[in-house]
Amino acid sequence: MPYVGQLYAAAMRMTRNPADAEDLVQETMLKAYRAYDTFTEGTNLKAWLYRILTNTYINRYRKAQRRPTETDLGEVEDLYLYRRLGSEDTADVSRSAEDQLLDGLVESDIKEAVEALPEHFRLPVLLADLEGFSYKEIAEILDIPIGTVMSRLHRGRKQLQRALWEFASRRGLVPEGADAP
Amino acid sequence: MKPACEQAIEEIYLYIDHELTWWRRRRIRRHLANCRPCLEGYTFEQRLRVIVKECLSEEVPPEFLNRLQQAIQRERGTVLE
Repeated sequence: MPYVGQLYAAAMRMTRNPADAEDLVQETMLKAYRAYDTFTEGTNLKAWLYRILTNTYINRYRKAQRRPTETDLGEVEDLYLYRRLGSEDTADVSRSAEDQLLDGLVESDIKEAVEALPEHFRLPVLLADLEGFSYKEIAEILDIPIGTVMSRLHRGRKQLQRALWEFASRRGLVPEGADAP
Repeated sequence: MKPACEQAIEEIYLYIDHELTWWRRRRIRRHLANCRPCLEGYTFEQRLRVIVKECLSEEVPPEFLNRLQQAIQRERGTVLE
């Protein structure tokens, strides 16, 4: 069964719990087997499976999920985490401060930060950063224009970095003077 | 920040995502080769990307794999009937 492990990882971040993730992957695989004659051999099987996965998720599980409110991203800059580490002077981020932050963040922080993203950011971020799909593939999987993929991905990653900064602050992983925004 | 740096940072995610045309790619690569702060920012983003990816992977529970295999076999059975 190809891609089951990857589909399961994405399903876990979508549904936020193992039981629903298992249901979602099972439904996806069964739909894929049933619809296999509609799949064109030689085209992108992985993207096709993810399209089924995300559609199933959106139709079946989304309504039941809590919807985190979108935070205002007006002030979030590019390279947010990196720049915050450098305090006022962007050009001077010490390697040790970087290591402290990147090594100190634990798996559950990152999972939680991703799961806290609003869904219209979370899905593109998962497809790009977990699965490595191209913008064009993501546009096809989610059935949205490529420009929308780019802006959601961009804003989603910024919001993710802001959440990670908060986790890092709480764990005391950020240098003194580089306080929460 | 210098205009060249601003432009590079603006396109850094596209660069990391391999979504730039070759000439814009080359422009950024040249900038990064000559600008340490931008190179460090880029390296940090790359490291973060790798860590996020690693942390999001999941072990599939073996019992689930068994159940899934059985469900698919049943599905095949009904399709064949």
